[in-house]
Amino acid sequence: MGSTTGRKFSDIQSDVYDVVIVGGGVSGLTLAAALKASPYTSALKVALIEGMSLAPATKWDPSPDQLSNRVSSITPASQAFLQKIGVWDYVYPERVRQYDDMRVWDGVSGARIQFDSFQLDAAGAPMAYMTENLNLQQALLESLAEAPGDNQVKIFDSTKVEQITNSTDQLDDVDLSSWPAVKLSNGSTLRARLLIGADGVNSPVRSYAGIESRGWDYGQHGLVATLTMEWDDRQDIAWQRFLPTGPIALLPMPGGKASLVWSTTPKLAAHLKSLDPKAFCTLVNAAFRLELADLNYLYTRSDPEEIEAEFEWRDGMLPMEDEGAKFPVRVVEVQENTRASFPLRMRHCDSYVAPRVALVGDAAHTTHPLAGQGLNLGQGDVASLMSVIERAVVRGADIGDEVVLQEYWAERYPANHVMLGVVDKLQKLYCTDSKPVVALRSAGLEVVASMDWIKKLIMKQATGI
Amino acid sequence: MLGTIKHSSSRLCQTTLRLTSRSHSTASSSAFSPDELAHFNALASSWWDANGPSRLLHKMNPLRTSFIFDTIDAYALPSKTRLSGLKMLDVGCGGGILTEALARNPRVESVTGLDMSEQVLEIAKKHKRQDPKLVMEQKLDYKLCSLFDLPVPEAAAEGKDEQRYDVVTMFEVLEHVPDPSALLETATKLVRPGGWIFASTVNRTAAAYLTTIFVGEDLLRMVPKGTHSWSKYINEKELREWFIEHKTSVPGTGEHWDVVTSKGCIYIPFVGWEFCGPRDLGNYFLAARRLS
Ligand SMILES: Cc1cc2nc3c(=O)[nH]c(=O)nc-3n(C[C@H](O)[C@H](O)[C@H](O)COP(=O)(O)OP(=O)(O)OC[C@H]3O[C@@H](n4cnc5c(N)ncnc54)[C@H](O)[C@@H]3O)c2cc1C
Repeated sequence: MGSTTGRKFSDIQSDVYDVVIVGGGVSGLTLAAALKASPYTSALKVALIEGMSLAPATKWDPSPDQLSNRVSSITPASQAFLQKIGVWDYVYPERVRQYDDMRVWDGVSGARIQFDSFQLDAAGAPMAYMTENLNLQQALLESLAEAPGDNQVKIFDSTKVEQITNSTDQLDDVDLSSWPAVKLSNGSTLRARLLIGADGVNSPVRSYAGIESRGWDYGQHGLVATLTMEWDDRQDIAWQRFLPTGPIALLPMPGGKASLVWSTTPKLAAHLKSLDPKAFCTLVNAAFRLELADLNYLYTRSDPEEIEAEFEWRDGMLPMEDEGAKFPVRVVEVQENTRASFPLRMRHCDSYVAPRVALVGDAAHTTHPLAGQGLNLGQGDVASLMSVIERAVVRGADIGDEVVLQEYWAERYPANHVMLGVVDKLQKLYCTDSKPVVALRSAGLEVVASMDWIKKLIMKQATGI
Repeated sequence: MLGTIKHSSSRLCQTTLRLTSRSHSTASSSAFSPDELAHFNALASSWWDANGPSRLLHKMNPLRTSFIFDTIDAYALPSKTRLSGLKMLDVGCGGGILTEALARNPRVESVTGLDMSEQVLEIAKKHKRQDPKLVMEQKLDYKLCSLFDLPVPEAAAEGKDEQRYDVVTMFEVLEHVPDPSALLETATKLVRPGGWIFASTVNRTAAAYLTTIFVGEDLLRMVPKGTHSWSKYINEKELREWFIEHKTSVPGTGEHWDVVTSKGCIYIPFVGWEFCGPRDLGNYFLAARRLS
């Protein structure tokens, strides 16, 4: 213990927290809300740090005909968890669209598969809920604001984590040398019994903990956009076509809108972003409807009128039968400033935990959006970590104890590993037009399409039920 | 091996015989054998390394705490058992793995941890300083002494209950002391009516030898060599009978004990410690309750 320094724990106590969450994305906010909702953990002192401003979420005043371009499909398991922690009640219901049917096909061979929730023994139950990430974030922040005053999560937004080290406090009564000290851009330093990395794919918390993250870049960008459809298709269907450059997906949103996720080469993504809005819509329609050779030709054009004419001519040659079952309603408009693209990658950390550290969400794993699982895996992480923390509190364990946290890792790693692996294999399988692979994968898809029990299995995995 | 078994079973008879004759003053200096003490001194520095030699102890802790509190809840006597505000004594607390967890539990009012190894207790005290909650709440106290050194309230004296404990825990202790029954005898005197003794140890079976010593120490090296000595293991039946013979009704005091439950537990790689398997095979936990 050595000589005294005259400094005591009470001198720094206001900056000492049970849980410090870095990252105010959906994962970080969900953990904060869950901690406050549980009778076992609501008394814990919690801080959340977000580099960007959270005002767009707290002051969100959405207009009915504008949709944010960051949209996610929420699985029933995630929805149930958000319900359980009292957050779903704050979600704007008119900005949520359920779908209960999914049509997936191979752009090269045309082999098709259809999933619907009747196969889940849950007729009529949604397969997923589509909503804007902002809708979730505002609901999470709203529920956090409801906690009793002295018990609220302390939120530091527009505040960056600049450095994380072990605490170097020299105190006479307490030894915090095993506690992470998080230095913020506002000058203060928070000490954490448990530090949560909910800080996304480039997680500074992960770097501090020295946890290795492995994976690769897909060499694709995910182009998102908010689209208006020719009319509101009352069938609630999610559409996805696998093209050799990556899958294109159209997900139904309220009010005859849809959310686009088009995974493609960075070059094509840049081209599509810069294209005239009308021509862009035409290319989206083409990407769902035309033969690959025709589509590839259209990619090389940039004159809107030429694109339009070429598309109509080629589309006119398609057979009309079963139109509504085979293709989505046509896109007629793209909402201004909603075209954006993100590099797509696969990452998985060797561990999610270290002494006094746990990673959740994209900080621990990142996946291709083709299965709409990224955010949902993060929700699964939070649910699992929450039950581990609750159990630890009940037992009187230190919630930062690595032995405790390892229970979370042991539970989540295998589940995430399977999902990341399946998504990765699917993406690799479909990103080729090599003849034998196409023949095999189409046969595969057709076999799956004809075998209800396999589909049921796949859907149970994908919906988390 | 046969020789060892013979030797140890005769040793056990001695132990059982010693129960009645042994007085506490003679035991006080020998609650822990010197070689055991040396062994644990050597382990002191790695006690809190969750990936070190004490890993299995760390992993057993959740099972211990849930055994204690679940048993209290399940077998509470409405008029006698306290459910919270508990005063606890952790005998052989080591580096404080269980002791800290007890002190952090909101149902616990105070915990005293006893250990005879100075080095190990230093580690416990140092580690306690790493948790400001433990330091600030002042519920946790460590004492360098043996159980025999604690003042024993007079047996019959009324109003002495407040000097006694609601719970005395003796986890993985009985198999390390030369005279387990003297230790138990003293422990019973420190428990208030309605209170508890929670103990765990290992059955003296071939299976336990195989798992704890041969596999655990020799083969997998999960546990430091020399941690266990098979001949000191105590069968569940012996422990249970000790309570029946000595404590079901203590003449002249009205003192009465009841073994309410005991459970076998095993370590399953990749899963952890689980209650399963027969209680007379390997490791087991036992809970005894003082009725009056
Ligand atoms: C095109 C696309 C489509 C997708 N579609 C779906 C879908 O349909 N369904 C689905 O489930 N998932 C989907 N995802 C994935 C999903 O968006 C992510 O998995 C999810 O948003 C990750 O949330 P998170 O909270 O873990 O991380 P993030 O949202 O990345 O949050 C991390 C936060 O940490 C903050 N931060 C980082 N560093 C610091 C620092 N030093 N200081 C302070 N703050 C910091 C950041 O500002 C950020 O707000 C999609 C992803 C993409 C790219």
